[in-house]
Amino acid sequence: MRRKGSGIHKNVDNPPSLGYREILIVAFRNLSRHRVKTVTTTLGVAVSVALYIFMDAWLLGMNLDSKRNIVSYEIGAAKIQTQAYFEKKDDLPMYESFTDWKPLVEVLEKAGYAAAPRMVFTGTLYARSGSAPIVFHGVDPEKESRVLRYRNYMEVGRFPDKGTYEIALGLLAAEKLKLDIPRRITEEELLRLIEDTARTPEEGAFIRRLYENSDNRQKDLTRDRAPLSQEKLSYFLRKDLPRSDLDRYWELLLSSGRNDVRISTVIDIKEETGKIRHVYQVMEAKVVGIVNSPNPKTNGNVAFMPLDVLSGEEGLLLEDRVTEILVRAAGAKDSDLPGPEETPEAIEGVLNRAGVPLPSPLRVYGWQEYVKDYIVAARGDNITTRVMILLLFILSFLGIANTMLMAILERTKEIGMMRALGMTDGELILSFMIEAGMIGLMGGVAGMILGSLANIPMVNHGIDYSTMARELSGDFGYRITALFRSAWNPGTIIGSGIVATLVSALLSIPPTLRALRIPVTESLRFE
Amino acid sequence: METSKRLKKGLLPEGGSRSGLRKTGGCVDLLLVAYRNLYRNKRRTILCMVAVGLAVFFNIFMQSWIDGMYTSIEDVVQTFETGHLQLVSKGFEGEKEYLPTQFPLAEGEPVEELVDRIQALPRVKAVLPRIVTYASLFDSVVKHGVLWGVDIERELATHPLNLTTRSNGLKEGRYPRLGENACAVGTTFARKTGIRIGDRIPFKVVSAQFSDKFWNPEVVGIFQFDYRKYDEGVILVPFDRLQKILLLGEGTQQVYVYLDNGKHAEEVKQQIQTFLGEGAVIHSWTENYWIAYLRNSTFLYVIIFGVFQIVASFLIINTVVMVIHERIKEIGMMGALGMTRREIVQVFFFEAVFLSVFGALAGSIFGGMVSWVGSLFPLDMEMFTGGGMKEFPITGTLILTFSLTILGKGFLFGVGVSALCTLIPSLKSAFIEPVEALRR
Amino acid sequence: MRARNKVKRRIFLVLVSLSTAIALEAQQAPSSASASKASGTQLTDAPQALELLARVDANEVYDSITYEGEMVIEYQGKRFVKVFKAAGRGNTDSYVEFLNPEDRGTKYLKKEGRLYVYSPDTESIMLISGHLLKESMMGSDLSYEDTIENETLSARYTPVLVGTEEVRGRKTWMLELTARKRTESYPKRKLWVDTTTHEVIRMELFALSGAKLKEYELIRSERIGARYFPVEFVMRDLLRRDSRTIFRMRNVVLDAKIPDTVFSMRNLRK
Repeated sequence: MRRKGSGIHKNVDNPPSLGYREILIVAFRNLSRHRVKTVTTTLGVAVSVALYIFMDAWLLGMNLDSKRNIVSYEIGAAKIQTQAYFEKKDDLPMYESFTDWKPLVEVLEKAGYAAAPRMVFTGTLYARSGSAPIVFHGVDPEKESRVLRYRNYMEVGRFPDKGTYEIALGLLAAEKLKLDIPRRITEEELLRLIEDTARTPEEGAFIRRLYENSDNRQKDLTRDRAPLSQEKLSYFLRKDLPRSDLDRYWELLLSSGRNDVRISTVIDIKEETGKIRHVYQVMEAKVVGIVNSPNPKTNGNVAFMPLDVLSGEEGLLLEDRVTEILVRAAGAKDSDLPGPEETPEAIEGVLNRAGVPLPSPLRVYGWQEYVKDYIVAARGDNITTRVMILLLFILSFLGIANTMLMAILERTKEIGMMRALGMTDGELILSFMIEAGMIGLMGGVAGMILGSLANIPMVNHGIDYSTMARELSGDFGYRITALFRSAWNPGTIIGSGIVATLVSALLSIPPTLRALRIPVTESLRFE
Repeated sequence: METSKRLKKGLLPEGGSRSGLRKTGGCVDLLLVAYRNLYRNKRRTILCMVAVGLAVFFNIFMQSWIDGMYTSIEDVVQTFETGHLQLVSKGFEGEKEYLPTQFPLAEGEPVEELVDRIQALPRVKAVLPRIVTYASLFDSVVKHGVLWGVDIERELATHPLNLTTRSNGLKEGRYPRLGENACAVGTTFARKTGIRIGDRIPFKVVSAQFSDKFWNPEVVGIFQFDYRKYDEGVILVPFDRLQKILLLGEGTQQVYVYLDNGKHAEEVKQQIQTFLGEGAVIHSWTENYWIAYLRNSTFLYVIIFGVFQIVASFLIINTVVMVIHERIKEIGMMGALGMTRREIVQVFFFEAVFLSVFGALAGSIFGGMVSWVGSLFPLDMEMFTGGGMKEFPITGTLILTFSLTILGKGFLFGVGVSALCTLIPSLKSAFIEPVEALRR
Repeated sequence: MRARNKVKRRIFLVLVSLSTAIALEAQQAPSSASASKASGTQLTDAPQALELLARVDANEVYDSITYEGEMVIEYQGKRFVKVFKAAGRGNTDSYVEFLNPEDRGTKYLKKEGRLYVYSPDTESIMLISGHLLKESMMGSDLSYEDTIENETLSARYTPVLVGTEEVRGRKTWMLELTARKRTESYPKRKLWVDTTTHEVIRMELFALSGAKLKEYELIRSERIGARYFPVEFVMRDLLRRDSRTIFRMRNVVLDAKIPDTVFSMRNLRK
């Protein structure tokens, strides 16, 4: 009784009615009076809100993931192409190209965009072990890396340098053509490889050390893709190799000529008459890097090589022609989808204002145009994640509701006492609402902060979960790069704080009303 | 004095006394006490049960959802891309990007004999020869298609081709019969090309003898598979007709083997390999890139599931802790009435177990019903978003898996979590001196 | 007239080549390999390159041709044999019918600038047009359109005489050809021309970068009238390992009258 007095003794002086100020004070005092309960309840709300915010960002990230993948690794925000190319884009018609892209790129770069010219063509890559059809991308290595991110995901080796016939090849194609670092190798193959690659005995020993006997890996065997089960799979590349060893090994492989390849292609040239002519071309090249990005499209039968070497007779007779310019806002965050300044209209506007309007056959196409068939635009975003968010919302806020309900039910006796001391029903309800609302607010704010803090690294850096995934479900033979980022959802973050406050405040009403229905004498005895 | 009456009624077994309680060993009696306590405060009981039930329901729902999603993607891969085992020749394997036809599997052996031999193996459910190759279409918006030469009756007897509707996937018309000069195409393909039933599709293929072959089968059906890639680019033709046109004789390009359970793929693979020898390459469905990709993404869902679990557990903990906290005084009373600490803990624990069992049971039943209905009537919605990867074998459908394992797991989760988080506060409460507790 | 006749021959050989991606280049060979003494005096001293190429071209003059052909494709340890009969006349008409069991009944007809195919599998005549004509086959080979060339080597290439060389015991002039237009499929060629018969004994085809793509080698020629007609030769695609195509012609009849019915739609359907 003594302890409780401090919260309400003021009422005694002024029984007829309480001002809002007093009610507020009562509510606050009650908060500090039940410190333990306040803290636990607040914590409960905070955890709920934080988890909700975190999960919402996660689900939104999953929802955006494939779109981000397209933007960050395939297209950028928009492409400038000829209309004819766009209409036939599935055929990759390299003859529908255009020149005079340099002024466009210059203007865009000055206006704060990153722009990357590209020539896309198909061909066959001939390696020592076989051939594969490949989609080649002639790119400007520097400009390209300002727009797209796959360059950051070199499984091994490096990206081609300007002015060279160097190729970065998708991982799956590289594995198929045996241009990758061999991960599994028979004894015979290993000996031959050492013979071909090592120039000194020391180098031979070095290569030998990179492999371990299959006995150590027996348990992984069943998971691995064995081309033939009878084949003796004797050696595996060690898993714990430092990058420097791999780099050295890669350099040895490169200098052995193992990665020398030929690109065979047919150059399609449109004559003045409109007739398309085909000229045979074969280029000698070297695979210097292997791409394995989170977007599977960059890891398949895809290759990247410098654009500049393709211009002449040794290349594709391009004479500065390209098939597309990729555009993205300079310094755009990977976690964001293209914004309003990156729409085709905005980009065209920039070009027009700079006095370099797009020549007539050229158009700017937004990234969505290229994935229309795959993203059901009408549905906006993924319903799955929405349903999950809804479920999570119900769960989280049921938790909060439950907490508040319990907290107030417990205080039936106290309500009786306050009524006995002359507080009106309205005052009681209001004071409890404020108290609960305060708890909700504190918890909400704490949760918002906690959730946002947890989101910062998740959005900005994301997590590379490929190794964790491997731990979870075993080695499945493919080396998959898996980067996941959450996404900011300011609406949810603010909204969840508000909802937490409101839910808490509103949920204090029913138990209070219930307590009010009990006669004062009875409720005083309630425990 | 109503309260104390209620207390007595709950705490003391009928006609029982303290000593009686002792004598009977107590366990059954304690259970009875705990059970009766449930009725003492119905509101609280219901609240607790609802919390546990909801948590269990969501657990089950999430499990059956994630499982359903995985299963449906694996089903698509197995149905269209890999079977449980895919048998090709070594020559084909080397050039597989081009889908060549000049490298028949087990050359010289008629396909039906091969099928019979494999069919005789244990665990083998179905053996389906297929031919898959590129076709160049005559004057058409769509310039290339993939010919899918299958024995449609055998295919349909093995699996549905539209996994969402569990049907043969036909939208219009019918499938071509064996030997018929006819084909079926996907809805997307039909839309793009403007082809209708009764039209002919002329195209060119390269035969096993390296010659150009021309064919213009009549479209007799339009299908909708839940695998976008096939819906968009596949021309389904009768296996034997294509076999003849491609000059494969009695041979086949590929054989797909379906087992009673995909888990045994590796084991059957070894058996088939031994009698097919070096010339054949056998792929297990687990080697498929998309399966690996999917398994990789498991992590994302594990996290989601984990957070759901935390939130759901939180709901249970919160409720149970509150309930116990509220009743510390009761503990004092029980102690004053002579119950030992152990007994008090047991009563509280049993009560919590009852609560959680009933709650979890309700949640399981509800969750089971929802997932059962969901497994019967899949919801068509975009999952994973299309992702610009039409190669990705997605069904775009929410299929819930109904499985007793999942129900069991959800139930145990509910009971386990709530029992555990009751144990701690009830243990703690038992160490409060009864006198002290009474004063609270 | 000369150009016209050449066109005709090219086209039916193109038709032949339709049946195989590997052999697509086969038609290039005889077009420049025909030898004839009819064109004039034997060149004994070093001739002008242009003149020599003109003689190679000139060797191709005839009004009509019929023959039975055989094509043996060897690829990846497999051997595919195609047997066919072919006829060609004038600028527009040509006809090819396959006789080997696998492809029996497949017939091509080129008439009035259109290319038709009859296939026993379709039991109907189909017009090959549009993108199918443009399409390059099996990934890396010529398109149909490419093969419908109607100009002589002299018109398309600038030759340079680079010397003499003995090829399998025969004395030859070596010619290096550079394309006049940058849209030529093979920007460079190398020809070894027999100094006496003006047969092309060997030819190499180069990509734009100068990399060698294909090799033609004459195996045997027959003297038909005044001409030395190549009736057996081999083509190699250097990008494909273990790949070659041998082309043989039998019963070659030049400049004989061919009835109109051969080049009719009815013949195609028959």
